[in-house]
Amino acid sequence: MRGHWVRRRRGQIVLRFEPAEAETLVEVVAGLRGVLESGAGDDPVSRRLFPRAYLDPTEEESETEWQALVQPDLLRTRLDALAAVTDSLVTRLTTAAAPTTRRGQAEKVEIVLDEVSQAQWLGVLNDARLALGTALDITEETEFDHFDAGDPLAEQFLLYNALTALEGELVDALLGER
Amino acid sequence: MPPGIRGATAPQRVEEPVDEKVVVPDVPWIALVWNDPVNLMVYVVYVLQKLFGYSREKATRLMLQVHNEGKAVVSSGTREKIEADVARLHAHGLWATMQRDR
Repeated sequence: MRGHWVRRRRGQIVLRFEPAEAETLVEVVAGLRGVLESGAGDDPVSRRLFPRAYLDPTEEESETEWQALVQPDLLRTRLDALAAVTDSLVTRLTTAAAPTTRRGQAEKVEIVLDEVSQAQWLGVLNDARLALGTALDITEETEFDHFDAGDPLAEQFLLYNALTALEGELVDALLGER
Repeated sequence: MPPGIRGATAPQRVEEPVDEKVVVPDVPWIALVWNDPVNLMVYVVYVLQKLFGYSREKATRLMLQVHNEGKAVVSSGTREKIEADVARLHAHGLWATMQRDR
């Protein structure tokens, strides 16, 4: 399987990014960390990242107990994954900034994923899309090809599309194992 | 309505007073996954396979049900089991809820 960013190579999953793409991912992840660390509030993004388990209003006590158990673990797991993903990008951005190829092009940022980091990357990408998609109020009807020139949101929509494509490639690579 | 009241309207039988949990012991709980505009179809399939060990076919069928009908039941069992399932589904970013299987 050979996607634009994601490839399977000798049984491994390998990510390859242009340095600018890797830098963008670092920013995306930092933004997601900010959202998570600001705590579960009553805003749409928080509600989407930490949904209710019980819709039945008579189960409010069960809901409260369940959230008390689940939410801290869920937050911790997400933050750990963010840290690992950031680490892998920053480490390689630092080394990629070193000697360029003879043609003067910067080296690609290449990251080999083991089972743990595969799950972490998938989780981070999906969480980032959930946060961004909710903030952009993306629905089934959202069209992605009509932007007014100078629309400040255009960049956000393009970013969302790129993250979607990247996640799609990663899932394809993961499903290819089965 | 709390479970105890439902048990009290069951067919008449002389019974010792029991803990209300025993009065309705067998109504299973179900975990539902709801459609949302962000999660990729292929991602939902992947998560259902990973979390529940479903075949590609079954996971795809459930995903299509979520996509086309708005929601699907992805697992059933005791309250404790379903609470754990919902936690795992949320950890994978799926929008899941739980309720009694009536």
